[in-house]
Amino acid sequence: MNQASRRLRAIFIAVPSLTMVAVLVLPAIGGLRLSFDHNGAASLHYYREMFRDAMFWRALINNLILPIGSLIVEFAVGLGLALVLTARPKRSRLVEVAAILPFAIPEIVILTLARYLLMPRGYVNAALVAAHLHALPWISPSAWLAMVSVIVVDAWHVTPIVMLMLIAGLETIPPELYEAAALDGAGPIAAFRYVTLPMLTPAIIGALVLRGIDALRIFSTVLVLTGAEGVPVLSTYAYGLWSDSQLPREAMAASMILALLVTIIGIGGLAAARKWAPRQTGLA
Amino acid sequence: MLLAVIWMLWLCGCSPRRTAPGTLTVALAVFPSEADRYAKFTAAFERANHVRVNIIAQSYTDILQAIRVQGGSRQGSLDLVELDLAMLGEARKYASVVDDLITPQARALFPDQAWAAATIDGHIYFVPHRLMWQALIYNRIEVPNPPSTWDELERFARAHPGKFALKTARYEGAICDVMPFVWSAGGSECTPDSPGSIAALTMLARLAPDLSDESAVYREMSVLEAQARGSVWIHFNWPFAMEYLASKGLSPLVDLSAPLPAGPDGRATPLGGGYLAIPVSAPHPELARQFLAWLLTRKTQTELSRELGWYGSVPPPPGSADAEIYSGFTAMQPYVRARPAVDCYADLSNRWQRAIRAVLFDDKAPRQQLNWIMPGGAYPASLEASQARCCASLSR
Repeated sequence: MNQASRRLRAIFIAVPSLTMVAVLVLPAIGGLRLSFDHNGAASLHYYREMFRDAMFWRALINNLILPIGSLIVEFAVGLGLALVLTARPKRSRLVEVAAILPFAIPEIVILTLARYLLMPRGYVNAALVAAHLHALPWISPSAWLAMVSVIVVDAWHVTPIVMLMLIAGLETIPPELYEAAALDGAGPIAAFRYVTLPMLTPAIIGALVLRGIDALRIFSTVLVLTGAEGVPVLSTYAYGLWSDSQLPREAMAASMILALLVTIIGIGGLAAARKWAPRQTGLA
Repeated sequence: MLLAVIWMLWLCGCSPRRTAPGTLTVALAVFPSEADRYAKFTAAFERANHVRVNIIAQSYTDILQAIRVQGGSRQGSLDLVELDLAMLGEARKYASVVDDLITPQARALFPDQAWAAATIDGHIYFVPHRLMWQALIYNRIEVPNPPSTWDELERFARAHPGKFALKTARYEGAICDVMPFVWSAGGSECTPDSPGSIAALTMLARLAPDLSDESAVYREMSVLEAQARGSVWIHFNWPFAMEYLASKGLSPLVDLSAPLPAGPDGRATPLGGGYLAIPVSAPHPELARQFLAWLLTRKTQTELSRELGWYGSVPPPPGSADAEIYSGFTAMQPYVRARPAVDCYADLSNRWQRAIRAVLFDDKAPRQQLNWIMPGGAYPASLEASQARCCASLSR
C-alpha cells in the first residue's frame, strides 16, 4: 500500500469516526453529565426525583411488557406469512405487496389511521354499535385493552420486516434437504420441525434481537394512539419531562435509564444469539 | 460527500447569524398559516417605518431556549420574541425593561392582571401580545343550559357520565383547567395547603368518577376533537377552540362558549397567551421598541382583533357573529387571573400536575397530595407573601 492509499484510508476512517463522535458520542456524554448535574455538583438528585414518580414505574413496566407482546405477535404472524409466501410455487406479487404495505406506509399515516379506527367514537366502535354490541375502550388511558391495541398496531406496522428477514432465511435452505426428508417419510410438520426450524434459527434470532432492541425504543405508536400518559413508556415519559414539564435533567435521567435497558438487553440478546445459533444449526 | 455536508451544516449552525440593519426579526409561537396573516398585519408598520418584519414561527419552548442561548452568548438574532405567560418568571433575566413604553393609554388596553404578570420587581419586562383566557365550551343541543355553578356542574357530571372532560394530561393545560376551581374557592398555586385549594381538589375528587375516561390524556386539540365528534359535551378551552369549531360548521349551530362555573369564591379563569419581550441580545432593540409602541395603540389592537381574531384587548363588535360565538370569553374577561411569575414556576406547576393526577386517577386524598406540593407549615395570608414563600419552600 503506497502513501497516498494510506492517507486515503486514514481519511475514510477519520471522517466517519469524527462524525460519530460529534453527533453521537458527545451528545450522549453531555446528556449523561446533565442527568447527574444538580446545581453544579454531581448528584443522583434527578434519578431520586424520578424514582419517586409513579408514572416512571408505570413507564418502566410498560417498556418491558410492550416489546415482549409486540415481538410475540410479530414473530408468529411474520413466520406464518413467510412460510405461506415461500411455500407457493408461483408467487403472487399482489400478496407480497399486501404483506409489505403496512411497513411501506409512513408511520404517522398508519398510526393516525389506527387512531381513527380505535378512538372512542371511531370506526371500530361504530361497527360494534351497528352490530348491536357494546363499544370498547380500545385506547382509553390505563385500560388493559389499550396495551393490547398498542401491541397489535405496533406489530401490524413492523411485521413485514420480520417477515422479510425470515423469507431471506427460508430462501437459503437448500431444497435437497426437503427432498431427503420426504424420502425419509417426513410429512409437512416433521419437515418444518426438523429442517425448516433448525435452518431458520439464525434468521429467527437475528430478527428477534434486532426487533427486540428496536421495540424497546417504542415511542410514536404510544404517543399517537394513547397519548404520552395513556400507556406511558420510558421514551414518552422522557419526552414529556423535556417538552411539557421543562425538566431537561430529569428527562436525561429517564433517557439514560432507557439507554441502559436497551444496552443490557441488547448485549444479552447478542450473547444469546452467538451462543445459541451455532449449537442449533451446527454452523460455527 | 454527505459527511462533508453534515460537517459544514454543523459548523454553520455554530456560527452567529447576522441580520440586515432594516429587518426586525420576530419569533412568534404561531402556526405557519397564522404567521402569514400576522405578516399581512405588520405591513402597515413596515410601510410607516421603511423596514422589513421577518416573522419566524416557533414553539414557546424553542423560543425560550433560543433567548437563553443567545442571551448567554450576547450574540442574538431575534429582536422580539413571544413567550408563554407561564415562562415569564424564567425568561425575565433574558428580557429588557420596557417601562417607558407603557403609557397610561397602553396600560388601559389590557386588564390589570395582565400587566401585573408582566411586572417583576417593579419593572415591566413583557408586553401583552395576544391575551386569552379559558371559557366553558358546550354543546348547545345536548346541554341547553350550561352549568354556571359548581353544584350545577356536579349534577351535570352525575347525570351524564363521561360527557364532561378536563385536560389533565401532565402538562401546563392541567393547571389551566384546575386553577379556576382552586381560585374560585379562595386557594392559589402558592398556597396548596389553604382551605380553598383543598376544597377545590375535593370537588375534583367528587367529579372524578364521572369525568370522560380520556381526561387523563386530553390536551387542547384532542379534547376539542372529542367535543367536535360529540364524545364530550362540556370542557374548558381557549378562544382558538371556537375558531376550530366554526371552521367545522359546528359553531354557533352546535357548540358555543359560556362563562366557567362559579365556585364559593366567585369565578376565575387563567390568563394565558403570549407576551412580547425584547431579548437582551436583540440586534435591533430600538426597532423592536418602535414596533411595541406601534402595537400598544387602540388602532393597532383593533386591527389585530379584526385581522387575527385575537380578542385580548378589543372584544368582537356587539351583534356580530363572533360576539355570539365568543360570548363566554367576553363574559370572563373581568375574572382573568395570572399564574404567579416566579422563577420556580415550572417546578411548582409540575408538582401541582402530579398532585392533580394523583387525586383524579389514583384516588389519593387531596389534603395529603396538596401538602406534598409545598411542605412547610401554615400558609401565608397574602398572595405576595405566599409567592415569596413559593420558591423557598420548593428548593428545600
